[in-house]
Amino acid sequence: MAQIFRPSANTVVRLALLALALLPLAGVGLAMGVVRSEYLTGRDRTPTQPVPFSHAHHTAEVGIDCRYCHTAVEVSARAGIPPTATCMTCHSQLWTDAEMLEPVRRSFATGERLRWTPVNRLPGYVYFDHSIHVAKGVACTTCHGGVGAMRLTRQHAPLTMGWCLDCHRNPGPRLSRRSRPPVPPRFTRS
Amino acid sequence: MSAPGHTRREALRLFSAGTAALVAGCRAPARPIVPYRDMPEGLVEGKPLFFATTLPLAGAGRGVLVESHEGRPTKVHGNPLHPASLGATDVFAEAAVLGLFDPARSRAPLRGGQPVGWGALAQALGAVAARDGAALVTGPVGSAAMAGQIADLLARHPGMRWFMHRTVTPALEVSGVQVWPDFDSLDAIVTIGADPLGPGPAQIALAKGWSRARRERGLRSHAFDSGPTLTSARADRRMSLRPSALPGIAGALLAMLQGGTAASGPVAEAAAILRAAGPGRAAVLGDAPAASGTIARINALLDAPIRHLRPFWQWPGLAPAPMPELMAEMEAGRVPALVLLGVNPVYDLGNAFAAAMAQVPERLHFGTEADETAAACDWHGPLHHPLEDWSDLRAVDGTQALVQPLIAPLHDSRSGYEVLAMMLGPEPGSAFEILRGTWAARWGDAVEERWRQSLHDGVIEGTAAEVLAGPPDVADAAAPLVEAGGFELTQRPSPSVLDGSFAANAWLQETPDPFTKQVWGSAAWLAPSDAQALGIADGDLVELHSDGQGARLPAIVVPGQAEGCITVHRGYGRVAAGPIGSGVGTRVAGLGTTATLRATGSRAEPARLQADMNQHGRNILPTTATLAPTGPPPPSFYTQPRDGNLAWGMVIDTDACIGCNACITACQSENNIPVVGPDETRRGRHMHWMRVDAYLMEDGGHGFQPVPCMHCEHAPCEPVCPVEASVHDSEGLNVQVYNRCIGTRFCQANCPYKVRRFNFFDYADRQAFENQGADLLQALRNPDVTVRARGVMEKCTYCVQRISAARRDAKKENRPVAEGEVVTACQSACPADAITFGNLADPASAVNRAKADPRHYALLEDLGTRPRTTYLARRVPDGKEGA
Repeated sequence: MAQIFRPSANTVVRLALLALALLPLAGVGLAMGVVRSEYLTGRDRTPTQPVPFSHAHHTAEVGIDCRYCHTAVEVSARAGIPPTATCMTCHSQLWTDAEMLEPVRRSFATGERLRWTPVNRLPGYVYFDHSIHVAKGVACTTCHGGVGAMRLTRQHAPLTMGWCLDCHRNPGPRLSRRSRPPVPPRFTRS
Repeated sequence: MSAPGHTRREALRLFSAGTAALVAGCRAPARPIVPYRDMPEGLVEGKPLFFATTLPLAGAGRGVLVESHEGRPTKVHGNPLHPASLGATDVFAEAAVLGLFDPARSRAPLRGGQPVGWGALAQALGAVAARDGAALVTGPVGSAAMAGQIADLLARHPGMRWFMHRTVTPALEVSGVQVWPDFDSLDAIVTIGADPLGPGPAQIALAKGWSRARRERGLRSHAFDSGPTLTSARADRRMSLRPSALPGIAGALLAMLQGGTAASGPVAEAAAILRAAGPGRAAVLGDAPAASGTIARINALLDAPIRHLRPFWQWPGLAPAPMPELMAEMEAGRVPALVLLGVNPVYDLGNAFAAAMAQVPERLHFGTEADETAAACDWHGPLHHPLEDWSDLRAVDGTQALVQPLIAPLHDSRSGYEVLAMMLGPEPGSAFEILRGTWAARWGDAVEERWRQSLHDGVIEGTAAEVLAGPPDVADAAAPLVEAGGFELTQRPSPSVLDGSFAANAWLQETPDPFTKQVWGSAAWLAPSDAQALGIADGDLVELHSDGQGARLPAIVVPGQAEGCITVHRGYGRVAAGPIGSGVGTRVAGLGTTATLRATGSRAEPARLQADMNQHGRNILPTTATLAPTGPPPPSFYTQPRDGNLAWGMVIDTDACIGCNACITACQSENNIPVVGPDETRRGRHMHWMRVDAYLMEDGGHGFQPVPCMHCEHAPCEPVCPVEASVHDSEGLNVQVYNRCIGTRFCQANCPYKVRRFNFFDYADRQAFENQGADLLQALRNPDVTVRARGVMEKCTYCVQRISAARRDAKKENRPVAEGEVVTACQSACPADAITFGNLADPASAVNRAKADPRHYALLEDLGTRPRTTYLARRVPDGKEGA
């Protein structure tokens, strides 16, 4: 009577047993990788905005302090998105015909409000407070990256819990002196 | 080919499309950020603003500060500057924000049930106002501007008559006089039937004064009552007797004080505490017109420190006619048109009123809800909620304050002022202009400054009630006749829904009665001896018959209820109060002062949060007489808590607590706590983080014990959690991590205080009770507190969001968190100042001072849980002063 299994069947069974042990691990690894991937964290994502606002131009090139627009950042949990009136302090005089700024002018004229797409999104259960971080010397760029180089604003950090803890376990090296303005000095006018 | 369903190819295509959608859908589409066009004045994004305004209750105002998050009013706080609030609130004030966002509110004007425009309604109003004999019915008017409008209206249309319909009288308002005790000079109080601490517009102010006098000088009090009231529960001695016997008590007390025989008994004891306090230091408070003359004589004899004020609804030159007169006029067919402004007499007065009203050809109703009266009218117009309206209101003590809108009207509603303006003439008036005009006429040139100051402070400086020369020299009114053989019936406004005007408010429906802990319904209170004689047990359905009217409701046996007397509560049995209030409880308003009772043999199951008030000898709520000395702490395997700069603790004074439930509703509002409805309550699934337990005391009265989370240092909930969702933080808080919780409920089972609440369903949103998952109610949420999902355990956090905010503020300024900087929601609401909260690591803190009190005890201390929430025992009189 002929053998039912050829000798190579041993190898197949060994490989299968190995796969049985490794595949779940690989699955877990894959899942962990996917969760941390840019696809899911949104890191480096650049959402489309109603107005292609350039932080690079307004901060690094023109030299406007972050707090000129994000007025609440030192006192509130939220940094604050500027009202249309803030845009129009300059743009009622500058680039008054620019097609790009049409939604801003329309908002100012009609009272219809602009609708920006959030760049940095936190889950609903996170009660993040900007003001205490700024007060303790975390610069805007520590979390938001070099917005002075961003033509279009993108998410700099993965904003995962692990990323928060990376800093909270040892915040010292990432803190700047509290006297320092949040915008790097070379960008600010003296 | 034409087989039903899908072909294989189609199925595969749909399947793959679904998979692709699933993968792509891992990230929900972002909700846009919508900045303002112009930043509103004073607003900082993410920071609430507080506005001073005034909320009406039974027509009288209580000052409040309303917290507004980017235009959404979310929480009502007390206004320390307003004498009818003094920084505290009551259940009705706390629940006002839910009333504002109530999805069942009336949204558009109706004619015969069909939507119409305000233009048509204004035209109809103008036409009826001019008709001779037209009647205007309002509630008690506490607004100076509205009183002025009504005076104008009556002057312009001499044929018009104005009637006042009122369902709730403030405590201590008797025969058109508001009695106002000066608690700073009171050492002894005897109440005869009166309930100054009970629900109503004077509750906060009187409770503040009462508890201050009790705390600082050990105010003594005796109460004579027909059934347990919040006042009699607080009294050192109480005696329950039939309402018809109460006037006799006043007479006996007067005789005793005039040098009567030194008999023993409760009246002699009451006379003794009045005498012991001395002249000018004691008062007798009553509410029965049948005894008001006698009580006035006693108070004159005692030189009682009470003032007699003009009631808040009386305005010079204006005298509203009483409702019985309107009934007679309507029945006689002499009323061609009826305008009902903010009242619901069809519910309050019943079929008799509805039948009389049917004789009136033109009927117009205005109110925040399309209620029973609206259904009986041709026209209905929605009114603004007080949080949307401009107005001014007088408090019970006479202080006037402005009402300012917190939000633009949510629906197509109008102000009561605008409705009266439509009646006055063709030129429309806005509520703001009418109100401002009234005060501008009074203030002259200083109007701008005084207006701004009044809006800022929430009180109008220099306003107070006119003090009447003395008590009106009235003889006692004739006591009501009592038929033999029947029960005497006491009707009280419900402590939860008052006269029924709050029936549509789910928070209030789920606020328990202080004595029976019943929610979502009403009951007939029976004395234990009567119940035994009739063979009636808790929950038996009984029928009350009186004056040809009947009511069928469950009986609850209430210790302390007077024999031969039944207490029932008004405000239930509404039929047009939306999905929340309709059909809850039984209407009793038609019943008279006596009734016969019959057991029906069937059962009802009242929803109750606590059915057993007996302490079973466990001394759960000790008094100074039964307080056991604290033993050494039992040995423990728990690690000792670390010592930090902050260690939060709470002390609750059970001697101060009046059992008013304000803390429960404040907690519900602050912490986004959902309602669960009567069925889930019967399953024991109510969600209140703070509860107020009632226990029978040795003297037969009731005692109250508010129970939030104990934040045990050795917390039994923590070691049993398999996922470390229940953990301790460095400041001694026992915190619940919602995201870790998998819903084993082990912690709930292991908690000896039973303070943990489990979301068996998605009560807050998709599986909410009735309409409480409505989109509109999203605006009500406190943005600093997570809305918990199904399958998650939750409990009192000591308002961790307020602690965290204070900690961040302190850290920003590089200073320690200051004493008094963190105030929990329950603490700030409490009108009796029973709750102290603070830092145990600060030796000078108020909470440490409270813990050093000899009355200090911990609940179930022998378990060794080392609770951070502890209590002060209730004081009982030391000796017998009746001798």
